[in-house]
Amino acid sequence: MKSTGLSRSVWIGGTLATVIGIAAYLLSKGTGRTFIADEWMFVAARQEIAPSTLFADHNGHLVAIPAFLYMVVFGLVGLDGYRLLAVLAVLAHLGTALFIMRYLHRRCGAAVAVCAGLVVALSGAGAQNYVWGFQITFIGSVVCFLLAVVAYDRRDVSGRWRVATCVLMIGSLSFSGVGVSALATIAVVIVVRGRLRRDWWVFVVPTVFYGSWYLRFAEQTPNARASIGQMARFILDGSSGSISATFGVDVGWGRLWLGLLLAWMVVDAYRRGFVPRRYVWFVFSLFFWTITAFSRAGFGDPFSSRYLWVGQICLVLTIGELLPLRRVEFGRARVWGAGALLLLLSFFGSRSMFVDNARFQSNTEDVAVVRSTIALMSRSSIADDTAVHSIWGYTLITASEFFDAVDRFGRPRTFQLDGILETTDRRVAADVAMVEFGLTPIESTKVPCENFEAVDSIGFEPGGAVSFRIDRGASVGVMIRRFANPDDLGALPPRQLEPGVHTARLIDDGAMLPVELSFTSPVMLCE
Amino acid sequence: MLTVAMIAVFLVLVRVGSGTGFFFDEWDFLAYRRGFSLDVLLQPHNGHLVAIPNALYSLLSSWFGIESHAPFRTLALTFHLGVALLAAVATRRLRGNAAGIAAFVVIGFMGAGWQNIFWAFQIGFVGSVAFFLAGWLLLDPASGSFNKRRGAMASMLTLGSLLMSGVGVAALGAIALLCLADPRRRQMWWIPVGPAAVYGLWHLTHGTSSADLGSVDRLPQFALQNAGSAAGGVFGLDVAWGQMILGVVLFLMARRFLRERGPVWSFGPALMYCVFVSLATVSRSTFFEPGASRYVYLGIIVLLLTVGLGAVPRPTPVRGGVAVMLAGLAIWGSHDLLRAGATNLEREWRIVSSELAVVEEHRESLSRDLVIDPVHAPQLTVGAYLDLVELLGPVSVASFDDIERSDVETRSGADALLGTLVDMEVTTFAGEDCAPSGPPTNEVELRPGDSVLVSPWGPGVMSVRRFAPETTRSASREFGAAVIRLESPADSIELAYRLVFDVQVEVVTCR
Repeated sequence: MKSTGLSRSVWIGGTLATVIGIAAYLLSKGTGRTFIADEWMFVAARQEIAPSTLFADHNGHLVAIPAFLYMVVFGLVGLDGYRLLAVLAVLAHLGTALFIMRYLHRRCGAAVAVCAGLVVALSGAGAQNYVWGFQITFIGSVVCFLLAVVAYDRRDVSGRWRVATCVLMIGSLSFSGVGVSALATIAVVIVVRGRLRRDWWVFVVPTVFYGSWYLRFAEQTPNARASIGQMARFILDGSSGSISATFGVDVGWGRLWLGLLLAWMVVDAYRRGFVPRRYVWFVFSLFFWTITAFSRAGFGDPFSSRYLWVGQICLVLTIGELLPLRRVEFGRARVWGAGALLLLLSFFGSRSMFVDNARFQSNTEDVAVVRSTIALMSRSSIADDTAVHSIWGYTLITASEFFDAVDRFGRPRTFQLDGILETTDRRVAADVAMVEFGLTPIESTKVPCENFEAVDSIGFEPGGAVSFRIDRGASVGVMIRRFANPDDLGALPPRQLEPGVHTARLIDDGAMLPVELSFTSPVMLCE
Repeated sequence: MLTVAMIAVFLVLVRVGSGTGFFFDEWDFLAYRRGFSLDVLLQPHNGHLVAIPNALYSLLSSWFGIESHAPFRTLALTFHLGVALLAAVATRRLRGNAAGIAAFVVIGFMGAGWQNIFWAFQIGFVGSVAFFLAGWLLLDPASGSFNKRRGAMASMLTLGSLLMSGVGVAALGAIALLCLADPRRRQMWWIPVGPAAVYGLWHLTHGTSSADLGSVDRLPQFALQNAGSAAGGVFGLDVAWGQMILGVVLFLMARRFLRERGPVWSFGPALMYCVFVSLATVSRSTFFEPGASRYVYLGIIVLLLTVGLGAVPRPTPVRGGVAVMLAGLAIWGSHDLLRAGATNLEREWRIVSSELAVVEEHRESLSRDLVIDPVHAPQLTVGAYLDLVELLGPVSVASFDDIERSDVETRSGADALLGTLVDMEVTTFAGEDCAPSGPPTNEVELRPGDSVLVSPWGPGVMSVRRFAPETTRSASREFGAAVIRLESPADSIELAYRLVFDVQVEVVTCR
């Protein structure tokens, strides 16, 4: 490391304080309260450490290490300990930024290293990866790969570094499918450097490991339905998006800068000679985008925050490799100035993406907490196969799996009644959950109905029931409101009822809140 | 070699564009701006001073008539090849013969700029570019030492550029900036003064402006989109790939510039492009079409000239080989766009041509104020067209009898016009012995030259079809609940009109 005039302890202290400060900032948006989306699949199916739970396929990914971490957290702090996983994801993200800083420090000096590290740490472009604990899968794969490259650089110091590379590659593969790109890159590095005869096992062992898993556990997912043109466009947009998202500008500018970067690399190779090691991060990004395009270009979004995070790290490291050290050293003051300016532009340009991702995460967590609360309030009334948590109509965890996990690890985060009533989103989510869990059933009946009066809405207490008749020729929409305010009615999805006599019930869950049915057209309330 | 290339490119372009005809703004020139009086020539066209194109259209139409579009098309190709030739001359001077020919062929077959190649009206735009390139080449020190004669010629060429279209303003701006930046500025300062004074005078007396300075913040986006479309358009790629290629070009240019700053005149085309993009952003902010073929045309020429003159190092056999390969890729990649552009104009002409055939068939029945096609030729009314034909002779339009066998778009275009011929008159049965002749229906057949009485069950809309089966465009007429008499004029074919109602009607016959 080049001397910068500051003592080692000042550096360490400063770095530690910065890491704590940034971690606090990244966790300050109210995220990290409960599991969302894929994580409920872990809660449902990965409760006990065993080969079948560790190596089970997850959307085509091998996720043994994240699954292990989740199971350890379930065992140690129960389902209410999600905060730990959220903190872990933020620390892994900041660990990546620290790695970049340390790595570039040796090559480009302190100014470039500090600025690059801070750009990555504070960038909103990859926010999904650090606001959502589950993305430890992506981060873990990339961190293992970064460490593997550095370990392989020291292969001639001791044979243990090559073993370390091999182990890290297995680690990268065990975190997520991103490890496949890492494996391909390491293989290219070994081949291009003419080390195939000596170091073949460094990538063959992880390949055999992954191949064995693939043959035994992987499920066939028909994802590869994109044309070559779609794939090429996905790669272009993803790579460009990683650049433009760093500064929060239109992707067109990212494409322009990608062209500049490519030309720079070619000219650099022409002038300074082709040194394969210098392009390792670029090759990794190429593999990453190509493999992602192959499996996702048909329906995925190249601008997904989780992908941009990987692209951004490759971009920063690639530029770091291309910067001529002598010039950086020569104009140190200017480099600090330029770096600080880029950092500011990046922070303010991409901040909205962090805020948006955090808001989305927080809202999704709100809905998840509400649904867990409603499920636990009415446990005895919910059918076993009811989807307690789902995404786009796909069941993530059924009621029986959910209550099994609760019995085993304790309750996940829930709200008190006041908590549910706090925001519109929570109130609406609670009413939607009541309907989806079958707690406010409306059934068609043959009971004779004596006319009483035409009404627009009907209210009744928990444990009660009412019957009503729909006379009109057309169907009538009904909104079932228990937690929502009258002002929230527009946000409640209506349920269509056909003409005839219907009976609505509300199970007795101990809460004193009555329920109200609001109709789009008047119905006849039966005596 | 260059001559062979010129002939080859010319013949191919003539062949590809042979099916095109008069399109859109051309009708303005032909129908409403005939003659050589100052009033006609100085009249602005969408804010542009278009004196020379206007005069050329008047000249060609009086010499050749308007039966064939070929003279107009040939003129457009001549201007386009003139631009390609001037670009080739500039490239050849620095990079040798092969590079010059490559530049000529690539520009000649520039698919992304099809609008300026096949649409004869674009002689204004292309002419402005050609005059600018000629003036720029003349003043470039590489062409020889400066003297008053050269200066006067450059001044005339700049004026010519201004008289062709608004693009000339960008040319004037660039020439003025170059003259001021040149060390010989004391000898050259007067070159842009004359053209600027003429244009200023015109602007004060006749000019109109649609400039919106508030839209200047869209300039970076316009420039990025336009330059990206141009860079991609060279190889027939879309704007996304173009923006990446643009990045490569900018890197090479910046690197070259930092190493050896060339003479100020080598930045001429780039400067002109910058002024043009700025003007286009503020003056066409309502449309904001940076990817329009006519704008991309200029972007491609400037890009090729800039790369040819500044961004790449001096030629070697390897670099020459790479250049030839890239030129081949460009021609191969953009030939589809070239064909598609010509096909697009052919399609437009087919539609308008069939409508003109309807006008000629029913010249007595159609209202003179009727716009022939509000979409494809909104400028042209029946009266203006008939006057034009009387003055300049017939236009070679489709045969009325052949419309039935043409494509759906053409047939529906003709139907839209024919629909206006069906006369609708409210009437009564008073004193007549009338009765429904069949069950209620939504579709009634009406033979040409015949009439029919219908009694609708309520007010509604009637659409008229004759040639098109499921037409996308058809004449729609509203009617009330009263009895209506529908009548159509006779013509040379037997095919009946189909009147489609959105309410049930009864066909009534009276004794």
